[in-house]
Amino acid sequence: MKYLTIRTNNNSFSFGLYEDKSIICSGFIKGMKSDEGFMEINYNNKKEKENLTLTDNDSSKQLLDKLVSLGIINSYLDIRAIGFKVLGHSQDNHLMITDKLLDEIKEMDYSAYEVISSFNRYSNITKIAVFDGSFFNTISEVNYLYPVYYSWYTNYNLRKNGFGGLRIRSIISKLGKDYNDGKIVFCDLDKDTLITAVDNLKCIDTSNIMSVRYSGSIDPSIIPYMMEREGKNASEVVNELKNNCGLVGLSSYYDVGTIMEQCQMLDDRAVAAKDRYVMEIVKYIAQYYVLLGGLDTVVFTGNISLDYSFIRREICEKLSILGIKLDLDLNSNNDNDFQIISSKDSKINIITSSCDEDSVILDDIMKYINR
Amino acid sequence: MKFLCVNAGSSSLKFQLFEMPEEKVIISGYIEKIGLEDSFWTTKINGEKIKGAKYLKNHSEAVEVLLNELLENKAVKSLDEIKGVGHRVLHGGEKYSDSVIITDEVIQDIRDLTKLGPLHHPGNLAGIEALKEVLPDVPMVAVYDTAFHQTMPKENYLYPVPYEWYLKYGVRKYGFHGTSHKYITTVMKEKLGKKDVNLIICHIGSGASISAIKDGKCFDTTMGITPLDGLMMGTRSGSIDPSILEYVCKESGESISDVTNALNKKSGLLGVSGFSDSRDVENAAASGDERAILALNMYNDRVAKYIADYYIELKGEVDAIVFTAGVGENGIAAREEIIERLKPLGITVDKALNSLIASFKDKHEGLISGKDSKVDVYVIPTNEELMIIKDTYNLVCNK
Repeated sequence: MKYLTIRTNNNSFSFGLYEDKSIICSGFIKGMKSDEGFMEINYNNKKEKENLTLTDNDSSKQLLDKLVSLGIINSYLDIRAIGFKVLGHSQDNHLMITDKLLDEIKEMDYSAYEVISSFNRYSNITKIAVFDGSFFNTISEVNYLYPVYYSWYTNYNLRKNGFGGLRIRSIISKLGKDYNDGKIVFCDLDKDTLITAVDNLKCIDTSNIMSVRYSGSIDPSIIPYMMEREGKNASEVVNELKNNCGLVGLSSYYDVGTIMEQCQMLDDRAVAAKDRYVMEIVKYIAQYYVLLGGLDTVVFTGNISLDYSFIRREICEKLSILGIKLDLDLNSNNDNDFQIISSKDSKINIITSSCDEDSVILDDIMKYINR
Repeated sequence: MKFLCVNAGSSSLKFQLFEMPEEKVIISGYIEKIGLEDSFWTTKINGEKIKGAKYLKNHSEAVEVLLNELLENKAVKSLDEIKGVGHRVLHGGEKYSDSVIITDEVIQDIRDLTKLGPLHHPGNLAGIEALKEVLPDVPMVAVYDTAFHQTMPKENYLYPVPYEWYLKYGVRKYGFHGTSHKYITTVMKEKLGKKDVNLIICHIGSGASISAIKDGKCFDTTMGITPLDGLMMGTRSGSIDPSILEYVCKESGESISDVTNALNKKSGLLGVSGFSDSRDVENAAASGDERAILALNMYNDRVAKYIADYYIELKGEVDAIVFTAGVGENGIAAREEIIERLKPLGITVDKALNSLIASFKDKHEGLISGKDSKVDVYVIPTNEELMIIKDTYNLVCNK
């Protein structure tokens, strides 16, 4: 039996094709709805690349035809089910996609909706939506509500939503039983900075904080103030807060690689930006330490966590009063996709782990099929 | 020597006359609804309350009432006895890190800083100008609500926004309630018998801010470029995800200034519970009102979270946590709830001691932490007026 996992992102998607639990091939399609589309397929240690015209929302057909022509599958009927990552939440972790559900997905995650629609021509293949946000369903009202006018929640459903749920679920499956009843903070440091508190495998709270380009929560008065100063409208200022702030805004360097490089060369502004970033993460870990009533494990994941051992070191040093202690050798020799890096006398376990959303999507497909 | 403390808002004016250096209040008063037909005032002298009402067109007419009250109640025999006036001013920007004798330049600076204090500076200025008109030869002092926080290091006062916003437009954290944080710091220095105190000061009233004090100076604070930043408050949201403004504008069809106004005036405890006064919220919560309970939990959580932040920022080297202002001085239940949340940090509350302290009880200040607490926790009533007058007295008398 073959299964396909799909994760969409702004006019592109990546996929993994599995034979039962083993991956056969993976790749991505970019530039959907344009005549400058591009497909890459990795299989048998080979890389197949092709330029495509994707103006007809037929990326699904072009992908499956290609898999047939490469001899990876005999026909699309080899594929038993497809699991799509959907940014949004439902009562369940996953659901079979019906027309009604597809309408709902259109509201939560338009780019997933478009890709799912493209695959609708294959009516024989079971399609399953795997919801990234469902992991956060256990967060209570006191933590998901904003301290604002209550009717904004009742009328416009304004509340905190969680992101990176599939990433956390993939790490939880690696953690194993020893960690099931623990208090864990996940530090997912990547494009977004997502700090999530988990107790007994249930999510208690999550925060989307200062990241590479996003400011994080700030004094909301800054928006009207900047609108007036620069003659901009609200969405222009909010866009700046989402895309030109954070590490990039404070340092004036364009990407995280340059910023980290400049930090090593002790550039003032890069160091100041990095220090602030580290401090924001430290504060949220401390807040969750208090919220959870203590802490057993801190998990570092995401590219920034995994690529820059000094960021992990600085975070842990600032938290030393909580009894957290790194093994500096293990921390600097970290190339493992799952490794304990705390020292033996640390009160809190520290773990680095990669995440694999496709494996969670695959698990959910299997759970649905074998339900 | 008599010194007058003035806090002029857009439609109100509070005053207190002190005998210095004895720090004794002779008379105090509150004039409200200036500019409205039903202006009125309340004056307090020797424990007696006197009320008055008459249409007051502007701040000049309010100041006439103020001076009349001083004379009629024989707080002064002649206005010559007033040796100095201290004015509370909201925003000193980056230029003023201390109180200052008011000159034409200072007035111009306050006018220029209206962009950072649009709700407060017009009232502050009207108060200063009205008093200058009638007491032209009396030295006046501006006491800025932001000044005490100017010692914050750059890493704490910058927002993670484009650095140019700071350079061009002064987008940074300034902090407010500085006079109160300064007063509490001064009291704690004396109480602990050392100058380089490390403190976490929770000024929580209808407006609320927490400061981290390191070596006797402000190191960080929760309010920002405006008083809307930081904690959830009586009617303010505190800091939030900036996307919320855009989202609510889009969904409701309201303008950005409507939404910002709602974040200032209809959010916080009021927004979540429907009650704006913290005592009303507590009463409703006590009788089981779910939204009131929710609002209080959100509020207490946020205070505890910021205390945890500052505990870490100060590397755990904290001499004391201090509660002050309305809720801090009187919210027995709130204090207990907040400190209990800090148990994972080894900070504990002595419930019996805590329940004895409030302005409506015999005891108004003191220690409320448990014997086993890693950090001492105190309740200390704030006194911003006294701080304003001390600064004024010191500047005028060249101390």
